[in-house]
Amino acid sequence: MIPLRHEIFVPRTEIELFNFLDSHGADSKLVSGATDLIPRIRRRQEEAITLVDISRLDSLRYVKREQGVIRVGALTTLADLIGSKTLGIEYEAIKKLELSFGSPPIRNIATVGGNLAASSSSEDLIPIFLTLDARVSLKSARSERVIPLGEFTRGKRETSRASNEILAEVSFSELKPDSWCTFEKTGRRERVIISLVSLACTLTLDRRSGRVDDVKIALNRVRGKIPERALETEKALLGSDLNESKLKEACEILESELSLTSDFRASAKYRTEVAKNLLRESLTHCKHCIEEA
Amino acid sequence: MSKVQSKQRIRIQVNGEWRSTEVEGDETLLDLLRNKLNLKGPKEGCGTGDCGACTIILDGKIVPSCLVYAATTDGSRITTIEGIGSAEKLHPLQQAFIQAGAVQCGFCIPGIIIAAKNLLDSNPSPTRTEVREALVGNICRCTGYVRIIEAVMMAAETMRSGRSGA
Amino acid sequence: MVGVAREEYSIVGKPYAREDALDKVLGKPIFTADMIPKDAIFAAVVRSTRPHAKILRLNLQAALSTPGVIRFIDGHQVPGINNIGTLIRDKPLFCQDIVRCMGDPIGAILAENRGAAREGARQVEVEYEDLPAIFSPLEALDPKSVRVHPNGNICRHLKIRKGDVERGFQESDVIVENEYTTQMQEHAQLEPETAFALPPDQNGIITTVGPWQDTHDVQDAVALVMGRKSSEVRALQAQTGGAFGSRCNEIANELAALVCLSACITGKPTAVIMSREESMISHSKRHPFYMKYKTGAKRDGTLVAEEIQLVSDTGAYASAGPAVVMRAIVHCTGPYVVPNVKADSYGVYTNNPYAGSFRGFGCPQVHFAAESQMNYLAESLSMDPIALRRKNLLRPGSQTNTGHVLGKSVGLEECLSKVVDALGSMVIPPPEKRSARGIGVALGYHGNSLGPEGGDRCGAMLSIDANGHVEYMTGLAEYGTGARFAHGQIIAETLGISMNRIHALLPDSLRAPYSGPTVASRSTIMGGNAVLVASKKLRNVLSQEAARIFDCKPEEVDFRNDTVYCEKRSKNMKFDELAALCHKRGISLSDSSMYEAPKCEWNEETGLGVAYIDYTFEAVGTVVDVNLQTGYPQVVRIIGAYDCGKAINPLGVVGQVEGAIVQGLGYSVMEEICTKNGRILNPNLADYFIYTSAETPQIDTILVEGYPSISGPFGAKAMGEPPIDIVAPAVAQAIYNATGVRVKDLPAVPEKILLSKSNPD
Repeated sequence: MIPLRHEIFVPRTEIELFNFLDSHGADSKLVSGATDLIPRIRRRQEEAITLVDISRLDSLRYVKREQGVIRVGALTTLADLIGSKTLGIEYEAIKKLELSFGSPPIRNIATVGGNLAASSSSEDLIPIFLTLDARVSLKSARSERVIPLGEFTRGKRETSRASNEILAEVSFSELKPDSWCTFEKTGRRERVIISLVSLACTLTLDRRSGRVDDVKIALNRVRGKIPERALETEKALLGSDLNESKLKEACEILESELSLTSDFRASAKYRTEVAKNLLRESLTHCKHCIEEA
Repeated sequence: MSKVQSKQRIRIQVNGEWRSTEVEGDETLLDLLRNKLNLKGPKEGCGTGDCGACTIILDGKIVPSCLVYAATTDGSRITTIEGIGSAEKLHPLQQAFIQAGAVQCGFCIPGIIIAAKNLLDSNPSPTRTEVREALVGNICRCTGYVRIIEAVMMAAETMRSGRSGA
Repeated sequence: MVGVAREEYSIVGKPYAREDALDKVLGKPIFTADMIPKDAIFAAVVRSTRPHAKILRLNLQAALSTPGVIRFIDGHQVPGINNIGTLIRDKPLFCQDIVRCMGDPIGAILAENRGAAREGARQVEVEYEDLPAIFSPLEALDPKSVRVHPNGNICRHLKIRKGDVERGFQESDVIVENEYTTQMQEHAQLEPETAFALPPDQNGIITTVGPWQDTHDVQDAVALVMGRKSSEVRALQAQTGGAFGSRCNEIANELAALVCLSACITGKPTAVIMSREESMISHSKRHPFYMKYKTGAKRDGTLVAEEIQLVSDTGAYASAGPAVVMRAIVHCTGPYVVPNVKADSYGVYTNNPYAGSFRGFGCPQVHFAAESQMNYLAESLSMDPIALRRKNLLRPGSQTNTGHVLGKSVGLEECLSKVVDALGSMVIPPPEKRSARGIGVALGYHGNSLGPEGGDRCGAMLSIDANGHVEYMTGLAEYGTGARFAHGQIIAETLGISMNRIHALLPDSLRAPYSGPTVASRSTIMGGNAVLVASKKLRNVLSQEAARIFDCKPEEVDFRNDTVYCEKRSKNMKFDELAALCHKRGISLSDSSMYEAPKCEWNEETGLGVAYIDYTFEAVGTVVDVNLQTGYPQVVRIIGAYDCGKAINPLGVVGQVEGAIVQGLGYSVMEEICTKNGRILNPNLADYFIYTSAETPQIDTILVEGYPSISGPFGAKAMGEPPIDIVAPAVAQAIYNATGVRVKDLPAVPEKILLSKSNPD
């Protein structure tokens, strides 16, 4: 039975939160930046009786570098993440979110954790963090476990989080030298768009040979309904010098890897065409930025 | 331990004044401001964070008040359009909006002035592009934004030169 | 009507700030939802979830046991006529037997608060028996197709038969044939529909407050539903958050009737506030058009013949459809001399959401087709599209496609020249590497006010108090257009007083004289003429009294700078002194006057005659950069020139131009209500894309004032709508020049451009 009104619990400390989740986690819903939730509630699609709004837990709001690992607290807002001085210019994908993710008021309340936990193809952070080989930390009252992001997002709106856990942090190893991480997103207008195609690309070049040392590519949709890595395309690009024929080949492999669907927003054909163009553009751009740096 | 309740009491500072008020469960900040605190400036244009008509300043940042749960704002400082300027002493933005012809139907104006003020508070010399980007979350269906951008640039200049605006 | 005989005006033509801007920048509670009485109960409408079905039965059990719900009302509670159709009385307030589109109202839940009302409405169970439904307007032309209404699916059919098109095509050296379609556009006015009503007062008068575009229409609609006299209903317009046509169609009457009915039944003030989704599902839309054009021309570019078929989908109910059919056919060839015309304009019913009034009213659709045809023709003739237009455009003394010989008030050529010059001299940064740039130009025209719809008259009420302050009221609604304040400038100019003496009153249907609807860009010209008549009358009254005091003739009395002069006697007095004296002597300084527009002699059978007394002419040029990787068309610059007659308030006029252009840009490249089997798939602002401040290009507006209108006050022409009419074809032409892709089906979204480019057929 979908309740008419929902009750709300606003924990002030992590201990309060975990105690609550231990007993009530199963019928409650975690909220941090209700940008997705409130529209669902208005459409009467939310079954949880109690909302647990954790947006006041300042302990989970940080972006820091520790021993070669970047750690981002789950309650870091998009605005904080984009503006963080801890991330250098090579994390261009994150910086570009200022142009592609929502609007200023939305970026002030949407959180990193909220974005990842929503687990859908409209969440921009997922493809970006997939290419950074990110891991998420799931915390409960008594334990903490770290799993790869790709294992956390299982399906549309489905994650590996147990009902007494929260997504506390996302972390990834710092980009190696001669690396660049970029992001392209396209929709029907320039700003505040639901993505038709979005593509994240993290590239590392070998300094001496100029060839691809490592490349990770993720799109908002590859085969299913959530963001995934384009593994075949990555494999084909490893060790290459990103010349024109290699780029062409990569686009063809991407096309064969993609199994997209059509909807009223766009056809599969268009999405595939654009994905290829964005792949080419992002690889060329990353290479150029690495060489310039 | 904080209670899970249908009703909670919170204390918030609204336009400089501390107020204690009861909020119900999933009541949004927009509904609290409009219905309980009688501040009609912030508007409901969509209820889903897409139009910006409900934009207010919460602890120094602009937020869509229709997507913020009132229960999470205990201890916070909020500014609405009612806290900006007065008929006797308009804020330079308000003066500029009037003079530049940036007001047509007026429904978007409270949210836009809030967003513009927030911009100028941290960036007193914005470029036109920075003004556009700052207002991306505020839809205006009447003006096409041209006079609005003009008004913000005018107000920025007035504020930089120290004039209060006639 | 040229107003006072003066070379230079002191107030008309000056960029005054609007009087109500102060309240708006201060965020005062002036919109309907801001003023709902604290003790009001709330209503929520129960709407159909089927496109075409019989209503078998309703189960109210769950709804009535929802906490806070008071009762359910439907057609059974309607004391008068259960219908709120505007031009054709085909739309029930509450459907009792059949629903004809999704969102069709079936009844309403009344409850203690808004949340309970909405939940109660959701809990009403409706048992339907689905009927065959029709969604294709072309299918609807077939007499054997599924009928939406008993009399068949053709809501209206108008024709133009001029000359001999068969012979014209034989004489043509080149013939170009194409089909075009345009989409359903959503008003997305920022204030969702809302209304409230107070129960009858001690005089039995029901008051309803809302964001109306026509208080008299609302008053009459409510009276019909309630089985009362119009004078027992008082409709007050609150400050209104945009409209663009949505609020003069059935939804306004529906909500007003609903809250009035509830207030009468329950004895309690009743309010309704729609959510954005409900707003988008339940109010009218812009008519989607299917258009088939065959254009013939001589080798030198002279147009010879056009055969045109227009089919507009008015959806389940006529709404403003019959009038859109008319305006579309009048403008169907674009602003050109075409000797032979055979045109047919059909409005058809389907089970799609209903279409009605939307800024432009048929002109954006037909101009897209007509101007695209000119571009195709130019290509076939290997002729410059601008030169082709110059060859054929309407000039003073030209004959239009309806055989109307125009007078002097035709500024089209100058508009085109100004745009071409501006495009030639503009300086813009080059396109990005991944983009290709193109330029497009389009011409258009827009008949002023109601034209052949007839009954075009407007009243105004004016009152000067003993302090020389003036209050005025018309029934015209003003929802951001600025027209109400242009009226003030006209009054100030006529009485020679300063603007701070003038105060505009919002329409009150019981006090305002009949003014007709706030549509067709008629507010400045019709309302302006009405206040001009009224203020001239009061000026005469004042002159008589001043003449008596100065001992001169009334015609020797002059008004300016808040002062009344007689040069001959070297005498003067302050305006407020004169007003005070009049009041002391019992001379009335109030007037209520009516202005009636000249009648249009247009023959509905042949489509020939004078359809509109005046036309506003226009030209627009646009620069578009198309991203070749995604197909995204970024409009970088747009320049428009408008034959506006006289800009009463240039600041207001330019504001209207810019707003209309940006709506036109949305119409061109991104706005689209997507439907499937009659269901709107994107009834929200996350999936219905309108321009934000980031997409808005630089907009340059050139006002061309050398061609005063025949009938507008001070020569003013209509300007609220024209600028939206020709944006789409200019953008489409620019996209073509950038990429070689011709978009014939609006909107020109990235997908259409990219896929056509990679697979040209």
